Amino acid sequence: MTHDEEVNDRINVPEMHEPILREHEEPADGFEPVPTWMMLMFGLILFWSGFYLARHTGDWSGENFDTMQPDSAPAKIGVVTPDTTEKLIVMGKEIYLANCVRCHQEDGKGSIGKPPLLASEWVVGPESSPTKLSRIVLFGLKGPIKVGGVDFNGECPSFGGQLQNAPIAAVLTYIRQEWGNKADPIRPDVVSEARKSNP
Amino acid sequence: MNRGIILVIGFVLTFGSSWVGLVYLPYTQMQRLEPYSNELSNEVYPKPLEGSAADGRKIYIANGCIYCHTQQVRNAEFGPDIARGWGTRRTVARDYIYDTPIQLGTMRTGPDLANVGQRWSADWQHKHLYNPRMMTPGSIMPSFAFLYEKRPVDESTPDALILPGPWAEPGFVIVPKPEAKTLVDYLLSLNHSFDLPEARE
Amino acid sequence: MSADSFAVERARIDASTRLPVLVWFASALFWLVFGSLAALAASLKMHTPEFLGASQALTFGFIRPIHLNTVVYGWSSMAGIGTLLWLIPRLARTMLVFPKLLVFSAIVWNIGVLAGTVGLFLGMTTGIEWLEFPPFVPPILTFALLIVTFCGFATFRQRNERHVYVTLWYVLGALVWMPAVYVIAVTLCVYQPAPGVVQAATNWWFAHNVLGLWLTPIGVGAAYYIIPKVLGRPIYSYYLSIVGFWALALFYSWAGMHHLIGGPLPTWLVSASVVGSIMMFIPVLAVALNHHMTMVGNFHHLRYSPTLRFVVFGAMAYTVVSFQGSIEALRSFNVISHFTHYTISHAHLGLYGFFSMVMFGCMYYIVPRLTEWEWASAGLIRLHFWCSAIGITLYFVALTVGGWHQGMMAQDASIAHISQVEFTKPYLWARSVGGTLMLIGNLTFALLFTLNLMKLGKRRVGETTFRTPMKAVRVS
Repeated sequence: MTHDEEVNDRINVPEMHEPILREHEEPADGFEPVPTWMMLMFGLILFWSGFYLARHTGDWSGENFDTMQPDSAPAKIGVVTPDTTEKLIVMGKEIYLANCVRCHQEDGKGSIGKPPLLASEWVVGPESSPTKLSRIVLFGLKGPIKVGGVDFNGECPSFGGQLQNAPIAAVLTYIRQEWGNKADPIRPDVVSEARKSNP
Repeated sequence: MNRGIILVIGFVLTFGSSWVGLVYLPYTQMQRLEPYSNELSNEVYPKPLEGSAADGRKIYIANGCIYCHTQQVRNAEFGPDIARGWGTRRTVARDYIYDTPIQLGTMRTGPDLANVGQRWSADWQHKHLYNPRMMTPGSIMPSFAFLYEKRPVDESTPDALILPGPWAEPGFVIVPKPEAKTLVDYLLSLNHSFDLPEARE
Repeated sequence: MSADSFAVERARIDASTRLPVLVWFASALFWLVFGSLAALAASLKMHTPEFLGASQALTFGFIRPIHLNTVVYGWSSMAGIGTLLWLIPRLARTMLVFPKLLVFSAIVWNIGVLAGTVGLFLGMTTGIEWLEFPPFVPPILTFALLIVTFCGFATFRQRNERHVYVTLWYVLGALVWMPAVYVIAVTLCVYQPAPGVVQAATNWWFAHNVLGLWLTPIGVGAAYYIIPKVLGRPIYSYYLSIVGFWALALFYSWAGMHHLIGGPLPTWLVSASVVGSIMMFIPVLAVALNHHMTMVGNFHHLRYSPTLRFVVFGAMAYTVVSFQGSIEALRSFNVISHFTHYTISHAHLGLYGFFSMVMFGCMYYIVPRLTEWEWASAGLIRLHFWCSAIGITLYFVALTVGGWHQGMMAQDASIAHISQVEFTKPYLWARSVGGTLMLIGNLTFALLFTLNLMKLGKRRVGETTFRTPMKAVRVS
């Protein structure tokens, strides 16, 4: 039996299943026109698109990578070196909160296994050394140390790879002047000198 | 619109236009990207991964790290990626010419990893992979302890992890399996800070 | 032709589609249940990472692609194919060709998805988003898909209805576009990978086209059928249908690079996609107006008809998610939303709120016509609807709000990344709750389908509706 005949055999009009009998007709098209407001809106979108494309193609170059305003003067990447201690501290706080807070905490007191920076002899006082602090942030620090008489044996990661000298000087200045600490600010050239030494 | 052939021609033309624009043209523009050679310093960048780091990349891919981590640094207008210390410059096409399959990622449940090799040491990476919450309280990253072996102390090896304070179990050490070691080698290799001319702005 | 002879013709056509459509549907529902379970596991792991955290096979990085691939290639694609295999013969007014070959194609497709899923559990992922199935899977899926395309067009060629209704443009388009997009994508990403970022561009051109040129046309085409059919009224405007279709065909496939805004791609490439995404306002508005004006004066039918309720919910979600997507593609908006849970929320509104709900509506309509058995319980249908609707709404609201704030926090470098993570945790919990409701809805539907397929329970006469004007008479 062909497939058609098989199917025909199964159909019995009086016993045909109910859903098909109660169905409406197959869908048809109405012919209302596209509303004028819609045509206007489409026109506006087309204009906007052309305008956007004209302004944001970076000369169709394969070397002009995605930016927000490719046709205007691009924002200077990297950091502008602060010229006052206040600006240094403001920048330093931001760097601290982004990079250091997870171990040394926002109050500078550290936590289990992570030394405090508040009143630490490494950070302030006669034994603190700007060069040594720079080297810690540049190259990291591992191994047993003592801070305020307490033993620590953790690891401070190195940030020299992704922080430039000015931000490092900024964050060191911040920790030396926050939480009641009082010590001299650290200048970016101290950090750049320290960078030249061996890790 | 009642003739099938008109429909099919329409299908092909509309779809074909986007293939030309988004696949073919970028291919012609970027398929011949070569590594950059700095003649003064004799450096070539990027270089293809070799050895352990290349194997480690496969572990990165197999474990789906891409679903929570990106490997692309955006410029300052798009976000403070650089201020966060995730890189010194934005990444560009040339950074990825040897990356197959490319792992740019689309979610930052965790931080960007394009330059993570400069941020964390092998020791930290191992401990973090073994139990992320040990190193970063509150982290939702899954633990990759199945890449490590717990052994009695007398079977310890030089690369055994020394777990911090309350996490250490007396009498046992944690030893990385080969997959963990190669994965960490790969993570340490992630460095896109080379000064490429097209990345300067 | 008299009403009776129309009915006879329809019965014959339906009978020809019975076996293949039910096989594709049953398979789709299996993968829906599987994929939803994987979804819930993944969602729980995000806020409770130790959940099932000991084995590698169940690590988040495995479960997430398993979820995505089974709901896209298992549930969505198979439900979509089943639906279009029923729609094409109905609209062409001819019997479906080669039904047994189509059953074979369903089995082959199932083998592909199953082999792919097993491969993912074994860690054999390709590492490419939306194409994670191991390299031996694409040929299997392509083979099955080409059979479907061939049979779809062969059926269309034998049409007895001269007028090609709008639904047919959409589903035939889908049958041409998907194989083309899939083959190009697996070639340039898996088999002969293009260098670096070109691969990324091709990858997201593909992934977005799975939505725009495969699932959306099937969903929108199905809505174009169901709404006028159930209401017994013509669709509002043929001209809007034309605008809506060709604008979608032209613009949707240009939008894919919006997944890579700010990334290492040329500016022109990203801008092209931003423009494509904004241009999508045109077809989405046209379709929304067309559907809305057809429904106007008839919204009360939503109280009775499960089919209509699911499909209209889906069609409305389509409008919302598309407008949202267009705005999301603007660079200034994307700066906040990129890389956050906001994107995930958008994706699920589209794939579940729009596509899955439309598929549910279609299956509620089609299945009784093929099994000759009405749905067992209006109460269960109600449970399905409300669990799914409330679930996806909760999901969407939770991750939209959470994701937006996450993005705002990400823009502030003084907020540590881990703080961002802490902030999103309650929203991730809310997503798990929404997802659980969606799972319950899906399981309820799977139960209803099984009951129907196996003809369990007493025979009903009369449609299963939410509120029957006359109570259905049970005939034992």
